[in-house]
Amino acid sequence: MAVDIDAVNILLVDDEPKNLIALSAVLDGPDRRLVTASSGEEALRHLLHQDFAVILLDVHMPGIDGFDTAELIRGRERTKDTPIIFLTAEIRGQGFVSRGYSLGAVDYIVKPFDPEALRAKVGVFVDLFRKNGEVKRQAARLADMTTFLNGVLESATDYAIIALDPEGRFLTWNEGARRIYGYTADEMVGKRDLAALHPGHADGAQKVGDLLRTAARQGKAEAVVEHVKRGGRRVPVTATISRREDADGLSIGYVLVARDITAQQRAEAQRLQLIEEQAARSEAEAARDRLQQVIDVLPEGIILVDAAGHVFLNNAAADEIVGRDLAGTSDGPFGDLVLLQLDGTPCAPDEIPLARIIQHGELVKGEQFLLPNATTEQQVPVLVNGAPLRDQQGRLTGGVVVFQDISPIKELERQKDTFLAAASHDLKNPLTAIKARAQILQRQAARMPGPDSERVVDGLRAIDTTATRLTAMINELLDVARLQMGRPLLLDRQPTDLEEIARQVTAELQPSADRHEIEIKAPPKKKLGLWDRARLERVVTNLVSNAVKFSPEGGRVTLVVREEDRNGEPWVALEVHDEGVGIPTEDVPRIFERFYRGSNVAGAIEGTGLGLTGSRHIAEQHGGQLLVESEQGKGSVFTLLLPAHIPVVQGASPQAAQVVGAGAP
Amino acid sequence: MAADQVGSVSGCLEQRAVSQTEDRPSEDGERLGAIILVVDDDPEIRDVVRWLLEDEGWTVETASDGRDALERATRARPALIVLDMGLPILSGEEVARRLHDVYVDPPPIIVVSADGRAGEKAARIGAASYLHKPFDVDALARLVRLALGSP
Repeated sequence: MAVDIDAVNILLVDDEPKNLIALSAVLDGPDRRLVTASSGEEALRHLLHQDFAVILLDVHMPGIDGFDTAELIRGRERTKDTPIIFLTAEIRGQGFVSRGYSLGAVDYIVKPFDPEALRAKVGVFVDLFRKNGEVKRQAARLADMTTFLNGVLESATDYAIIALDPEGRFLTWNEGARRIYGYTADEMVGKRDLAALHPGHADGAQKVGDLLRTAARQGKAEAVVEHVKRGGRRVPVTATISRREDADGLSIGYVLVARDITAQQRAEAQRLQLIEEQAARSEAEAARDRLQQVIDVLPEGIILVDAAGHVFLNNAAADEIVGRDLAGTSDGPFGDLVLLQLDGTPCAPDEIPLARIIQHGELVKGEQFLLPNATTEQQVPVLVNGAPLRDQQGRLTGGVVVFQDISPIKELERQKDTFLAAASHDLKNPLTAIKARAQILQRQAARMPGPDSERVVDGLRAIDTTATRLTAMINELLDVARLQMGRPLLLDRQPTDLEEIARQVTAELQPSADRHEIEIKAPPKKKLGLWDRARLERVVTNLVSNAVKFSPEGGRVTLVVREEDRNGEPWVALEVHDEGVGIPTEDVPRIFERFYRGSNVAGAIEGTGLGLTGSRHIAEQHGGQLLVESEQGKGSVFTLLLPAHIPVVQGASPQAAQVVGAGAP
Repeated sequence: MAADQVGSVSGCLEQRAVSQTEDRPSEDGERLGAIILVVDDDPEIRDVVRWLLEDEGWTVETASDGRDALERATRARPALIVLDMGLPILSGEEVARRLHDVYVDPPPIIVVSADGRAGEKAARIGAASYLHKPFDVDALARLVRLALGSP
């Protein structure tokens, strides 16, 4: 202990030099330095600069005596605690002694003194001084260490380091604690409130309480808990609580070290998310690869677009029909597809199926377009179906179209139409020649004189009438052929009065139905529409002659012609009521089938069964309907319903419409 | 019965003269010189229509296909064309369309068609009127008179 070897000072004060010498002789030693003063003034001067373990002070001195000197020594801060031993030749009365003690004297030594006793007394103070010095140095070191440790605590800003006393009161609160919890040391030190670390978070409070109890029991406990920062944000921390004990094993409190692991948790979560995303992405890629392989096998073109219309998937057939690599050659919406209507007019950008699908969520069913092939520069007829794509919440996320090159179908249709046109042409030209020849010969014959003229005219009229009947049959046959070939009828729409047709048909059929009474009920108003007059005549003729045919006992056949409002649109209805055999309920759904005969009339009544099928087709092609209600044994009601609004026919001119064409089509 | 199919102007005049003197002397003056072009690929029909229209007092020229019709109509402007739609080489519709290249105000047309769509086609080409095949000769005679503004 090199520090302790430093010699301690002893101040000897006496006006008698021989006394000083004697004291020095007695007290001298290697661990001390003797400082002598021959007066109170001199002693005080020494005391200004040095600390002394003890002062031996002679009471009786000239000038300032020992008591006065002691009083001055006590008066100074630096020396107020320095022990003083008074030296005196005699103790003169109680007042003398008490004065000395009141001045802080620790002892009196009466001269002549016993050297051993003096040495022992002084030795006590030397030891005391030396020990005090050591205590002070230790205290200073401790203070330094505390400062140092506080520095460490304060610079550990990532960690809340909190000391708690055994009752859980906060003893220290470092910068890290302030950062994590948002409270300052001034606010927290002295409080006994672990719950302050998690207001409104019972679960977190419970956990920290458990942690403290575990630490009390086991010495140390560690857990990840959630604390609550001032303001309410939850902060995940790793908290370690360790119990501290003194040398005897008694608890002196706890240290709580907590570290905010928000960033760590976030990084971990991000890492996990990244892994998940990567897995999902590769899964999606694999699924997409499989899907691509599947759709590449399909013969129809398939294009999928996102909600912005960008192509994100298409198959090989789509590339082939479009004539280019859709994925590689388009950056605009909908793969920069160009579509034309069948008549060759280009579709506006918002008319193309994919645009309508993603803009309005439309379903596209069986629409036909022309699609210019980029490679062959041919306009490919395509049949397009499509639908919007939606996510699980039903939000529109894109669209899909499936399209098919229908060139072969179109070609077949064209061939059928060519055939039908040729058949019509080839059958009707001879009829035209026959009728026209018969008619013009009638004119000539009528001008001829002689008795045979009338017979010739009658014969020619008979040829003409027969040719007219043949024409009607050929027209019907051509319609049947068209329908059987799956081609729509080509309607010749003209302003037509349905009531007039009813009257004409009635007039034609009444003569040959002598057991029936055919009557018409209709308000006196034209029932006009743009319809195919000749075909409606066939429908009405068919319905009325059926009514006659299927009421073999005779009776009333009633035609009702009326106007009807359907959702604000004007329609015209023609009902044909009969009082005949009716149709068995089970047969009703089938009577419009080709060649079908009701079970109660098969074999009993003649007919081809083609009529109702064709009639319904004609009604439907007009945008109308042909309906039936029937009760077996009571009769049937057939209703022809036609929209009466005048559709705009492309290129219709008043000039052509004013002059009603002549001749049976 | 007249046997010619293509018909010459002289032949027409000759026949016209016959019918004129025998049947309708009163209409001669107005109808003389107004040529009606009858276009049909069927010779029987051309023949019977020629007969009818000449009987009515008109001068008739005939053509058997679309190109022939267009050439004749270009060479000399007919007063009226009775035009079948189903023609070889050029369709009736095409003939009507090209007549607009030849004439600012093409001659009126009576459309004749065997396909049941005479009305629609007439509307499309702006024809004066139309007939479905087979037609009544009286109806054709009436439409011709109507188109040519004759009583």
